[in-house]
Amino acid sequence: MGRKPKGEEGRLHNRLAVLRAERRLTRQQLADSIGVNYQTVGYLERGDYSPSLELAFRLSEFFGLPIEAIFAREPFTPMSEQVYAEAE
Amino acid sequence: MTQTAVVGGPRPESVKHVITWRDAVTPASRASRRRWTAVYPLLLTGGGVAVAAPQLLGLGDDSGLAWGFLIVIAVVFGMLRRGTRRLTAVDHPELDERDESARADAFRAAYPFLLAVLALSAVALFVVLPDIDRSTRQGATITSSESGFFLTAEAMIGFLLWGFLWAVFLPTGVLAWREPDALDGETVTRERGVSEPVRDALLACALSVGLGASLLSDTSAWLLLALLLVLTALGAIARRTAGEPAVTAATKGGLGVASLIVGAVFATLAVGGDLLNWLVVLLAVAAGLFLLALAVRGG
Repeated sequence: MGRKPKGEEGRLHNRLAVLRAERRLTRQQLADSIGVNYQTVGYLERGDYSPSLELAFRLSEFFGLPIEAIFAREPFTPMSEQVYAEAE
Repeated sequence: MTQTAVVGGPRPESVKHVITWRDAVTPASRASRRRWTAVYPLLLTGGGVAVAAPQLLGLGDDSGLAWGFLIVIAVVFGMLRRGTRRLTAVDHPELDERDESARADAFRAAYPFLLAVLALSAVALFVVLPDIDRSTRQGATITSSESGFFLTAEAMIGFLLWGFLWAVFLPTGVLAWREPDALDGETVTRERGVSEPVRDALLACALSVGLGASLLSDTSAWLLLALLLVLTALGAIARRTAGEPAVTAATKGGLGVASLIVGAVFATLAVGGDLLNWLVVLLAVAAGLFLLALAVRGG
């Protein structure tokens, strides 16, 4: 079972909102796909809740990305910045 | 786990749902939930005093106000339960891992609070209860004698009910205090006719006025009447805002029955000849019959 982050130190950063927007999914659609309440998707995106390993794997399988591409202990570099950096 | 529908409280837009007064008074924001979480212990304490020491509130020994408190407590508890999507329900089939985690945390946090309430209540009993000497006789001979605090069966039931109400409330109270705001955009909680602060203020006014009038008349009838009026009004406003008819036939029937009950309560008070009480009886019975007639006609 996951947990509620105690503070900024225990916070798990994620790219769920960006990935969901890229795929033009509503929270309800993503929630239905990974088997959680639609509000839980919102809490995950806002960082109000850190997922269990099982839920992290389900998200990873759903998006077809490795877990470290979705979740990280340090804040992510904005995707646009990362894309331009790789292009240069 | 594939079930994702939300029971009570905030719902996704896609779910068709007939709006009721329960939806109108469901606190969706954390601020509103915290306000009602703070009110609940006051109501419970008021109810406890109305039962255990009615003289402190200037009430008679056989005051019916405790029933009014119990009903208001049930309404506020119901609001908090819906505001927290009934996460504290045992074996709820629609909970996901976050809900279960929040629920487990709430029960863990509620436990020390419950211990504190029970310990304080036990201390209060020792302070309030008089020291009594009790002896057993066989004929003219005293066979045993003891002194101490004694609880009547009625007081014991009241004390157990007090502990039970706290035990049931505390996990929900902790959740209501902690849970984040409902999400914007995917809930229908924003369209309820009146904003949450206004709704809370209206309910608080109705409860205060009803409680004040009930204290003066030593009955719960005014409290129930105020609650009934404001809940009906909030439900009707919410339904109108959502484009539904303000009052359905079923609601009219329910209101009709409720009006007749209020009339019956006031009739028992009016036996003494109070003109105002007889006027309320007349109005409540007339309104009840009128609403029932409308409900039967389906209008």
